[in-house]
Amino acid sequence: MYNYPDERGYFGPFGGKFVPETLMYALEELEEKYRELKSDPEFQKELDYYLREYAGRPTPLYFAEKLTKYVGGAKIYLKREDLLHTGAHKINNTIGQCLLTKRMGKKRVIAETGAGQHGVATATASALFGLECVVYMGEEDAERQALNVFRMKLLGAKVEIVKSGSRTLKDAINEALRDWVTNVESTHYVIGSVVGPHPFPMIVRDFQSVIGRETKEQILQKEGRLPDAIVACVGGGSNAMGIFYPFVEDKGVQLIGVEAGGYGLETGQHAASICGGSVGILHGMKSYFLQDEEGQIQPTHSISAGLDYPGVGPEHALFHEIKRAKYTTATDEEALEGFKLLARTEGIIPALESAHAVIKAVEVARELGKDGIVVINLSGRGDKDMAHVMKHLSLEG
Amino acid sequence: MGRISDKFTELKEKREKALVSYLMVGYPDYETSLKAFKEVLKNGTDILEIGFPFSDPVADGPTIQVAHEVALKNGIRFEDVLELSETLRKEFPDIPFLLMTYYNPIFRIGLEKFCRLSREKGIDGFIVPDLPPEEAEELKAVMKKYVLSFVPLGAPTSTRKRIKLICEAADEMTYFVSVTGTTGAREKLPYERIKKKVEEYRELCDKPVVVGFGVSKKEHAREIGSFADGVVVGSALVKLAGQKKIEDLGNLVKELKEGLRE
Repeated sequence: MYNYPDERGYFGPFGGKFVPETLMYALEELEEKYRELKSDPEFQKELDYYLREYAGRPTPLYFAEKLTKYVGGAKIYLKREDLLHTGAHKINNTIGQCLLTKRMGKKRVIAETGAGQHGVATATASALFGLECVVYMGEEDAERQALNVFRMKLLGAKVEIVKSGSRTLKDAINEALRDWVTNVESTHYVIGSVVGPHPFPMIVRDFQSVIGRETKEQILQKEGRLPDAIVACVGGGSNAMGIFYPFVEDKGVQLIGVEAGGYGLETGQHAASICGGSVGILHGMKSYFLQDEEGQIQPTHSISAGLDYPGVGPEHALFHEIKRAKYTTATDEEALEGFKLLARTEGIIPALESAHAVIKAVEVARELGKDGIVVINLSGRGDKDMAHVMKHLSLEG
Repeated sequence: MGRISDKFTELKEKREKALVSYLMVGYPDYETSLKAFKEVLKNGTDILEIGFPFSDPVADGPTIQVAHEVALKNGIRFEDVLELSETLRKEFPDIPFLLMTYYNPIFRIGLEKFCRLSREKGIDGFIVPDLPPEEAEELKAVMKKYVLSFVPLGAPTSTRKRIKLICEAADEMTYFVSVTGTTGAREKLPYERIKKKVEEYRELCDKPVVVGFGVSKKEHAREIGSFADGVVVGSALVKLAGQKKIEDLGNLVKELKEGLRE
């Protein structure tokens, strides 16, 4: 039986709680409260209510017939997280964590954001539940995603622009941790991915697992069997863990995580922590990171801000180690190809993050052949990426 | 155990409290930092903290963050930190040196290698702000082999249960954080709250305790020195080092130490 994390917050050799002493009590308190609420039917009912009536769950598992025909291999299904309120899977977690915050009696939340999706989702849930919200965002990301900055402000959140370090997601997390260490008694930190110190990787996984649970039910209904493969993009890894986790014991289902290959692994300019990194400790967890031989964290590059992070969640590190999932990469160029392909074949514009999964799923579908079934987790929609993609794609016609 | 315990015994006899000074290797550049370290050592520092820069210093406020960033830009590596320690050790044979860095550099360089070289070059112990007692066992086992002293951190949010855990992890002393937050000079400190926490610590632990975060002037040192075994001063010194005001640095250290003699 797969049963992680253990009581110390470890997924095998990965995970743990590597944080300043000031935060240790808050993590203990959070874990205790979370375990209590996990088995509280009232809390679960409230969560289900908001996921259904507010966020738009369940999302469809759509048979991508045109894409399937174009590829000429296995049947391809899309789990349509892009149809959720705010346009990505992030809202599953922020509704959960903001409800949790209310139950803990805290009135202020903070969050980090890269592309802005998690920031928008946190600002949204905070508006809904009447919480004060501060979002930390790297200066470079804020420039790349100006629209999302405005969106968060419109929702009543305060956006703090982070000018230290590489001015991207990693530094936004550093700054959010500094805020939390200062205001820990009044504030909950809504971490946006399956990263950070225990119990965050577990909590975010649990809130995102609704994706995989629905997928399982839907594919059994439509096909009468489980898929041969599930493909998802991996930055920190929350959408991937959300769809993988409910299938962990179903050994016949291949789980494939696609990391950001950037300009190519060989160039060193990428954000593929598992495929191109090594074991280390950052942001409270032991996992894979992009770092030099003395443990200094290295700059990353990806066309998609949401994957532009030098680490990965500890449970993915375990999945890699025990070979339960396979991790691969897609380059910027390949992601753009996936972006265009899905738009042209299905009339669906994916987020650049999800486009990494789309293009690798094409390969997987071809390998599996016509009798196979592949599910892609379409974690978000591409509207946010238009301005950015316009710089890279020239379209004829 | 070693220099740290000896230092506290000596201070007790002299009825003084400890001044723990922190500076960053390679900030604003290696040569200036070496001068700065010597200056604080000559003017009344009882225990020295040697900062090894890290790319993501989450426990540090703006002043020390800049020092990490600049030191890394200057290409500072573990060998430079060791070289500085070795140089200072020759001149100051009795002052305890604590290496302060985050856990990732220690982990990546390798626990065995990191501990062995530190010991060889005159380091007496480590302070690792992102390594709570629960995660420290692996490192502590190797440190023990090289007779290095682990200095855990306590915090205003540490419960009694956690203070006991911290006390068990401490070899010779504990570093208590004065306020929730990051490092950085503060105008005012909540003396009463800090005093209560230190009293709670003393009920549970008989190892010396120094208080840091925000301590930047004589008045702070005097007030906290009246109930704790010493104070840690970081950002105020790092700032002067960054401005290359070496003489001012010596004067500030003298002043702070005066506050700990009364």
